[in-house]
Amino acid sequence: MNCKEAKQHMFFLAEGEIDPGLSDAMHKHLAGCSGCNHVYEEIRQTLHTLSDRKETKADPWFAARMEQTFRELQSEPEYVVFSPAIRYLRFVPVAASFLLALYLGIHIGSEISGRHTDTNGVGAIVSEQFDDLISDQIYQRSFETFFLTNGE
Amino acid sequence: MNDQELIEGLKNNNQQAFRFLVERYQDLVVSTCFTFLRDRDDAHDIAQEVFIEVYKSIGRFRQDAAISTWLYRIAANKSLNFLRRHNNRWLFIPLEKLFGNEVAEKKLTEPDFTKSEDKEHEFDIRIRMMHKAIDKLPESQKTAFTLHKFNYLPYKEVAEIMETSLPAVESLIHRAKKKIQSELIRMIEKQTP
Repeated sequence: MNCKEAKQHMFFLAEGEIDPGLSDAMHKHLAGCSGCNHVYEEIRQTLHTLSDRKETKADPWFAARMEQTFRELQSEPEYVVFSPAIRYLRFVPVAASFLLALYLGIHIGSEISGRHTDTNGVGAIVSEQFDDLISDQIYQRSFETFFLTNGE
Repeated sequence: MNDQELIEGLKNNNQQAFRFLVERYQDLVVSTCFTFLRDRDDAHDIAQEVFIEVYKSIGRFRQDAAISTWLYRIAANKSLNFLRRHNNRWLFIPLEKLFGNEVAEKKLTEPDFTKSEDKEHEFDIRIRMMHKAIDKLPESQKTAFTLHKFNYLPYKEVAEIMETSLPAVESLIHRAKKKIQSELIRMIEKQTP
């Protein structure tokens, strides 16, 4: 057994989890290799330290603290807990309102701007009438301005 | 009061049953949280959350497992959640710690067996070294190893707590041991002159 192989089994040897044949080979290697023996001893002592440690216990005040917590929880008003489906459904009216507002916004916007841009629909007729009216007014005003002013 | 009566009492919102639950299982819950968190205050805070979770979800408790198994599961999950939140704090480590003196940082984290004052605290150093190795494990291996090694639970109970099979737990613990072994060897060789 070489050092690399020995290092693959050190933890398990310290835990007593390898078969006797491998255990013998390991001990034989460790007896002749001070480097591996040092590493093995450190691992063994570390595992030994773990088994020696005391079990953690709850602090004496913990039970009193929990009793107070339970009392507070019991005095809290009970809230109705909706199922996940209902929780998600509450967003539907909000989303519908948003979509409706978006649609109305686009529709009204296109109606207003359609007076000048729409060439086929109602907007086009309105636009033509509007243009005629404006040009008539300009022509009329120019005519009156030219003749009447010069006439005076 | 046996576990069956205890669960009935808890489901009926009986104050006496909650008191009994805490008295009987407080050491189990606190020590489980402590094995994951390694801080007494944090362990007590998370243990409190565990009992509150029991209070709130006792109605959903299926009585196909022991109440202790259920408590171990909640304690392990809550502790791991706490660690996940805690581990994200590296974002707030001061810059000098991230880019500062590497030797100073090493002194904070790596045990040094060559110094005499450290020899006086060999117990703490060895525990710290083990914890450092465990911290490198993936969560599932860490949970299985910690429950088995620090809470002295048999593989079968670890499997019930983790809601997995016995061979899966055996495999997790075996891989955890191999990883810990290589980490320990790395740390020991680093410290050996």
